[in-house]
Order: sequence, then C-alpha cells, then structure tokens
Amino acid sequence: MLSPERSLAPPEPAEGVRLSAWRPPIADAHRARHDRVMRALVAAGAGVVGLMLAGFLGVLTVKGLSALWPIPPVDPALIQAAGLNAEEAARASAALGGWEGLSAGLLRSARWAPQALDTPSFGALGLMGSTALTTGLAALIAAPLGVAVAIYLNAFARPFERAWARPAIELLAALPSVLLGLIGVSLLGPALARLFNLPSGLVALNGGLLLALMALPTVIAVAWEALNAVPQTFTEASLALGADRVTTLWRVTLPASWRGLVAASLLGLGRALGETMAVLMACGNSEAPPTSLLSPAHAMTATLALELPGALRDSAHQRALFALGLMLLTISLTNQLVARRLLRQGAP
Amino acid sequence: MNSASRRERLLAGLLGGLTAALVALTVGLVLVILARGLPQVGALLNQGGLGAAALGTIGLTLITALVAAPFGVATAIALSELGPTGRLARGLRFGLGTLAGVPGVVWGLFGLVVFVQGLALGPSLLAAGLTLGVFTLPSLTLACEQALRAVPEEEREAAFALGATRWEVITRNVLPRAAPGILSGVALGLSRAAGETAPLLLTGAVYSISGPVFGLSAPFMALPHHVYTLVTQHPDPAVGEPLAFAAAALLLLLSLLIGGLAAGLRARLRLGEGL
Repeated sequence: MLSPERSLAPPEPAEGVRLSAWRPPIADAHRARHDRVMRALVAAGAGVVGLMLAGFLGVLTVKGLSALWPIPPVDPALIQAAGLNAEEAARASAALGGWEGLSAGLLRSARWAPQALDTPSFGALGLMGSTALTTGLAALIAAPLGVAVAIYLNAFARPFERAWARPAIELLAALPSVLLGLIGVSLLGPALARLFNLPSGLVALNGGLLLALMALPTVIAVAWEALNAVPQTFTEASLALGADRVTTLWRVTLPASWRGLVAASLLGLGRALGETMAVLMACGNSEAPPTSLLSPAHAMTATLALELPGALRDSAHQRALFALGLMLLTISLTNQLVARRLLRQGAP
Repeated sequence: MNSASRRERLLAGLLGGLTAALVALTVGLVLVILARGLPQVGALLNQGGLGAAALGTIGLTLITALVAAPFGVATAIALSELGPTGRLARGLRFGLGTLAGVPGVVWGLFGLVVFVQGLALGPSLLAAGLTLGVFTLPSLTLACEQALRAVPEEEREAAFALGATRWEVITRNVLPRAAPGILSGVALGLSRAAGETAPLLLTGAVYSISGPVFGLSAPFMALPHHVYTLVTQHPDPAVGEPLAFAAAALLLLLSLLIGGLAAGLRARLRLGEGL
C-alpha cells in the first residue's frame, strides 16, 4: 500500500528544485523509519551546534554591552555587615562598584589601573595601543615574508622543496603558542636585552616577533592557495609571449591574485591579534602604555587572560574586561568578514 | 646568459633563501625545545607535577573529543549529506567559518561566563574541557565536512540507484571512504586544543593540586599551563626554566604525535584515492 507521499512517480519538479534531489522511494517501512530517525538525529546535532554558535555571539555581546551602562557602587556599610572590617569593606566596595558606564573612559583614557584603591581607572587606550603595536609589527613582518615564501613555493620551488616546505609550515602552525612564549622569555628576551642594552628583553618588539612567527603559516597557506588559483593558462600565455618569470609574476600572477594576497595578510593579522600567550609572556605586562617597540606592553588579550580569573563577578573590573573581550571579538569578526569577502571576489 | 634569466635567478635565490631560512628556523625551534627539555624530564618527574599535568592534559583532550567529535561529525554530515545548498546549511557553514578564527581567549571568556559561572561548574576540569570542546568545534566540523565532500558523487548515486536509503548511503558508502579524512580532521582539532593555554587560564588551570588528578569538578593541572607558570612565576628562574623546557618538550611530543597521526591518515587518504 503506497501512501501518496511514497508514490513511485517522481514529484512534479517545482520551481527551483533540482531533479537530482529526488530519491527513489524506499519500499521497506522499517528501513525508511530508521533512515528518518537517524537523519533527524544528525540534523538535531547540527541544530545544537547552530544554537551554540548563536549563544556564543549572544552571551559575549550582552555581557560586553552591559559595560556601557552605569551601576551604582555598593555601600561599604552593607559589606561591613557581612563581617568585614571597615578597611576591607572600603576595598571591596571599590572593587565591586562605581562603574560609570561608557563615561568611565574606556575609550578616552590610557590609564588602566583596575586595582587602584582610591580611584580605579579603566582606560583601555593603552591596552589597545599595545595590541596595535605588537600586532602591527607582526603583520608588517609576516605579510611580505609570507607572500614571498608563497610566491617561491608557487612559482620557483622544485617538487622536493615543496614536499619539505609544506610539513615544516604545518609544523610551525601546530606549535602551541605557549612554546613560542617560552622561547620569547628564555631565548629571544635575553638576546634582545643584550642587543639593545635593555634591563629586560620582555618588550613589545619581542612579542611582535613571536606574533609574526605565529602569523606566518596562516599568511603562507592562504597566499599559496590564492596564487595556485591563478589559471595556469595565464602564466603560460605570458611565458609564451617571451616574458620571463619575473615579468610574468609582476604583470600577470600578482595582479590576478592580489585580493587573495591581501586576504592572506588580513587573516595573518587576525591570528596575531587574538594570540594570547606570546604577548602575555614576552611583553612584560607593564601598567604604563608602551612608548616604543623597546618598552614593555600590555596587550588586550594578555589583560583578559591575566585579570579575568581574579576579577570579582559583576564587578566594574569584570565589566570592563568583558567590554575588552567584545572589542576583540568585533575586530576579529570584522577582519574575518573582510578577508573572506576578498577571497570570494578573488576566486576566478 | 641574458639579463632576464639573471633577474629570474636572483629573485628565485632571494625567495628561496627566505623559505629555507623559515624552514630552518622552525626545525631549529623544535630541536632547541627538545634538546633543552628532554634531559630535564627526569628532574621534573622528581619535582612532582609532571605526571599530574600530563594526565590533566589527556583528561582535557578526552573531554574535548567527547564534546567536539560527535557534534562536529554530526554537523558535518548534516552540512554535506542532508542539505548542502540550503539556506540553513549555508548560514551554519558561514558561522562556523567565521567563528573558527575567533581567538582562544575569547572562547575562554565564553567558557567563564557560561560553564564556570552560568552552569556553576566552577573553575574545573569539566568547565575547561567543555570550553575547549566548543572552541575546537568550528574548525573540526569544517575539516570533517571537507572530508565528506571529497567523496565522489558517483559513489552516492550508485548506492541510491540500488535502492539504499540516505542513511544507508551515509553509513555504508560515504563514511567509510571519508573516515581517514574525518579522523585526520578530528586529530588536528584535538592537537590544537591540547596545546591551547589561554582558555585554561580563565577556566581553572592551577600550578599544583592536592586532590585526585581526575576530579571533574576540581581545578586541574595541564601541560601548557604548567609551562606558562614555570617560566613566568617560578621564584628561581634558574630552576623554573629547565623544568619549563621539560614540560614544553613533552607537550611538543604530544602534539607532534597527534599531528603526525593526522598527517599519516591524510597520506593514506591520498594513496587510497590514487592521487
């Protein structure tokens, strides 16, 4: 007995439905039910993942935006009633309250002093400057170097060189960042200190160099793919016209793939921006904002990792840190979207 | 020799030199860590903590696998086999691709808000494992979907033509062929998660524990966090640094092991396809 939905004839191809999406009906009811149940299970799993992603964005947005609204300070007398002495109560009150929302100067001051007893201050400009300094240096090194390596692998390398370079780059990408942080503290730091005659080698330059190393595999992989996507007929036509490889590269390959190369640099920048351990371990974590590449820095990611575990729940400090987290998320998502758009446009 | 070919050789030499330098630097870094770390492993064992840290990392990786692998593979199957071009699938794929690039410390922030505080798990092995699980999910899912889509369409059409249900096609035709790719994607995701430190800082990693190693609801030790603490907070750097290198060498071996597994599986996959 065939129900209408299991009629043996293919359904009328509706507008926009591919005929190949139609499958022959399954005669065996048990198998058909099993098929439906398992497919529903898999779809439910995907649904959970989708909800999780939405929840991720939602939670971080709500928590981050909550820093924009003011909260009244907690009355020290109330805390004293909980069994603390007057001094401890004043301290707890300072830690818990007095958040003035946006007017607290998150984006106007460079003084980040969350633990200061008298007037805690949450100016994030110094942190943002530190991140910009280390990440900018990393991008300035990793983008040209990564594109250069990708060009070599695409246009000049012999097969055995490619066979060696690919696993080496994958190895660099797979190095846990804490290991590079360790290298920064115990090898690169002392070397920089000797080279520039500094009291300590834990400075912005150190973190920037490590970040460049971490961004390189990303830049190389994406740039290599972009160069490989340039149709071989383009380069062959150019070579057949008598142009050498340098001219072909400059006049044909690079113009045809520049979007992908810019996207590669942006993705490398994003990787450096979000990196935590290297800037946490190798930059000194000063309270003062950095004045040059040779002064200590305190990047946004490092601040989050260092201070969130100790920040009291719902305190002004925690709110400010959530706002920092939302800033990081926004920058990283924007960067990704731009890079992916460039990659889509660049695809032939 | 004309000038054009000299130009070519100059550029090739320059770019090749940069590439060789980068490869040498990478290999050098790995060798330095191993050479300085491995002789110290015994000392770190005596000092205590190494075993607990290694076990903590293994426990974390297990929880990560339990969270990320089933959901990741299910999502990959849904994306690749159930409705690859639907609006929902495209939205989900886009979201996964974008979130795969979100920094680990931001996932740690999410873990702190949702698992540590929201679900009141406290700073614990379970909260950290769940955080690493959701952190790994996007990249793992996308890798698995790629493995599934690499299975030729004819494989599916042939099975459908013989009257197989979709689920039968998935389990008997697609999954066996995609298995090496899927396992490789899972292994790669797990090796990334095992070396990740920033989320652990926010979800309860500690330098030493007194209780049982596998207390799910207690603070825990982990190798990457151990490296970080030994090198930044040990009172005597002359003691802390060699120990940090020992923990680093172990962590490196662990991630090389998992990464090598993934590479081996990929090589087998290529062989199987006759490429």
